[in-house]
Amino acid sequence: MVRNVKIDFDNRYGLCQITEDFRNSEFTTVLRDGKIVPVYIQISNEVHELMPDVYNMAFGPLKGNRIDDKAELAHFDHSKVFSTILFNAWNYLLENPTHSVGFDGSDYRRARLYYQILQRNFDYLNERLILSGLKYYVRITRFGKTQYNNPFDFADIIPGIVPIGKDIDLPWDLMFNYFIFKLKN
Amino acid sequence: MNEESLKKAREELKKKAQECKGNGMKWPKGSVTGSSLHQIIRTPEQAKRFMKMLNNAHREAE
Repeated sequence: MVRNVKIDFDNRYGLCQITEDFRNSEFTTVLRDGKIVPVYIQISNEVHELMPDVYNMAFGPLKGNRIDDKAELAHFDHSKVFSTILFNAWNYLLENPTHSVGFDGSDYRRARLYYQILQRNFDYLNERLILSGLKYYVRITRFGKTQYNNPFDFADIIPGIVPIGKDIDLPWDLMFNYFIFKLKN
Repeated sequence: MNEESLKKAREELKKKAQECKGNGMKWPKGSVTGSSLHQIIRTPEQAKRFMKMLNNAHREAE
């Protein structure tokens, strides 16, 4: 079960390739039907639009020349896959201690799954990383002439970073927009 | 968490990275989805659709 993922940096796949700056890496996963699929991890070299120290991390198999972060692979060992990805992120942060790494759930279901994995492995991850969730706040302008005029200024968005605590259940519709890891000092 | 084995794993990873073999590889050009910020309403058309949804919900609640 994906929900039962247990993060253990000692239980991970070896990386086939990695770039010198730790931004790109590749490993192979084994699927339940025995197929072997290459999985790519990529940490963007551009900062997040609203947060100057956050770099997006994407992972998944290839689709064309992009990472398919919506792919649903039936991994034989989900724990090993997520441990490999997070081990990689942790090592990137050790190399770049002023950076943060962020990742997205491509939809509600996946975001909730990631949150459950973070919750389940909170104690383990919290030893080395500060875990946060991101909420976007949109400015409400002065109301228009009628009640139903659009009062939102979507060009004025402020990110709110909230520490993720242990054993905090979030309703699916209030799930964070984004998850962020920072190295613990 | 086994600190010794992690330290060793980290050294091995660093060594692999410093070999620079990955630098010459063809790597993916971003991801299919992109960042969640792009999913937020940014254009007037999207805002219009959003307001319609909000209005409908409001009317239903009345």
